[in-house]
Amino acid sequence: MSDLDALRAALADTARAVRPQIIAPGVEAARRTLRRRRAIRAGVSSVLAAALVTLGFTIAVPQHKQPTLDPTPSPSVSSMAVESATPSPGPTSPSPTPSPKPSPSPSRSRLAVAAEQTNVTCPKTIRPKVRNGNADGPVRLTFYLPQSELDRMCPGQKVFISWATYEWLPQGDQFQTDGGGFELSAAMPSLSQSIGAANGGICRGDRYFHAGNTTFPHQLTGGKHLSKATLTDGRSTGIFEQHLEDGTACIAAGEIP
Amino acid sequence: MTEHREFAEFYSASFQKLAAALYVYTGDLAEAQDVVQEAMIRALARWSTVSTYEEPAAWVRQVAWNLATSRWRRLRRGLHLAAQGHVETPAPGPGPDRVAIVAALAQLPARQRQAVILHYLEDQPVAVIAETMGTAEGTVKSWLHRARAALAEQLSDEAPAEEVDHV
Repeated sequence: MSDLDALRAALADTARAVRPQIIAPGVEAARRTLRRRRAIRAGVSSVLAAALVTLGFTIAVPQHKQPTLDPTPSPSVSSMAVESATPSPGPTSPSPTPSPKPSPSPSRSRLAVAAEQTNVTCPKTIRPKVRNGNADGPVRLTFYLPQSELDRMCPGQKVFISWATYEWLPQGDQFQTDGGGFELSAAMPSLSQSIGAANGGICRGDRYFHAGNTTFPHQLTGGKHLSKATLTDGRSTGIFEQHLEDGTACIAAGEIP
Repeated sequence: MTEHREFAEFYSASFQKLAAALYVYTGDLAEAQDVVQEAMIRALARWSTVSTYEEPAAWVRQVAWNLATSRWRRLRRGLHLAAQGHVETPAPGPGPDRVAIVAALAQLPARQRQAVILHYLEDQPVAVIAETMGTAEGTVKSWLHRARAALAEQLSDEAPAEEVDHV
């Protein structure tokens, strides 16, 4: 027997001798192990999938939650906030909720903003009326919105009224003795203002009513007027945007040089 | 159902032979059984494919040897045995000659030992061994030559050394 045959025989004999001691776990054990591994793998896959879905949802939510212009906003505070809100480019990661929204400018009413959002064309010119507009003081002037104008106005639309009254000075100039401003709306369609009597026998001068927020000068010099429009005598109530009640009558009476 | 029966027949026909060869390689019967069972589980997982191979046993043998020679697996096995306070005991049954040959094989480098077992116990051609071990045929021949010389020297204490033929 060669050494190679001897080596082969020795190896075969050793392997053969050990075989009876080999305990095969069996096919069923192999199947159980395989089923268990597959179940674990499936479970892990499910957990990973759920985690990915959750993570993806968490990441995706801020993108979907980014404030967008609501195509049909209602005239409410929230709709105004939607219009003015923008994503806050802060250093932190996007929040799942929209960032705090800035409040609208104080110069713009909520309803006016809402009206802009709804693309409703609000009438730019509203014509209020006044009672006792040309009456001498002391008198109580009443400014009001007639029903025809109220019907034209947008919901919540307001009209600012500025007014001023002047008296003649002996030199032929006028100085403002009273004035003010206020808003009229559907919620407050009328307002009364009291105007005192001219002081010291000074003739009543011009009286201006202006639909809008304006500032009248303290003094009108050289017999000039702010507007050519003049209320005629006896017309105590009229439509106005910027009406003038001049002191013509007073001048005619010789009270003003 | 046929597939299950085919695998069961394959398992019965292959397990002991492969486990015995790996016992000669590892000197650890339990480790040999674990490695072969793991290879069988992997074969079962893809039996629809493995069963179509010309020699499914070759695929399982390859997997089992890869597992047995895996350094990571050997490390885990060593840690596992150490944690259990394992004391190496010779497998019962083989006589002194067989224990001697296993002990002599254990002195060989792992690659040479694997080549010897595959060639002289499993009757694998050098070309197949080279492919299995991922090396050149000449390298396998060199390993076999050195292994024979080393075995002859180690076993010379029990039997007079004889010149080993070239492969």
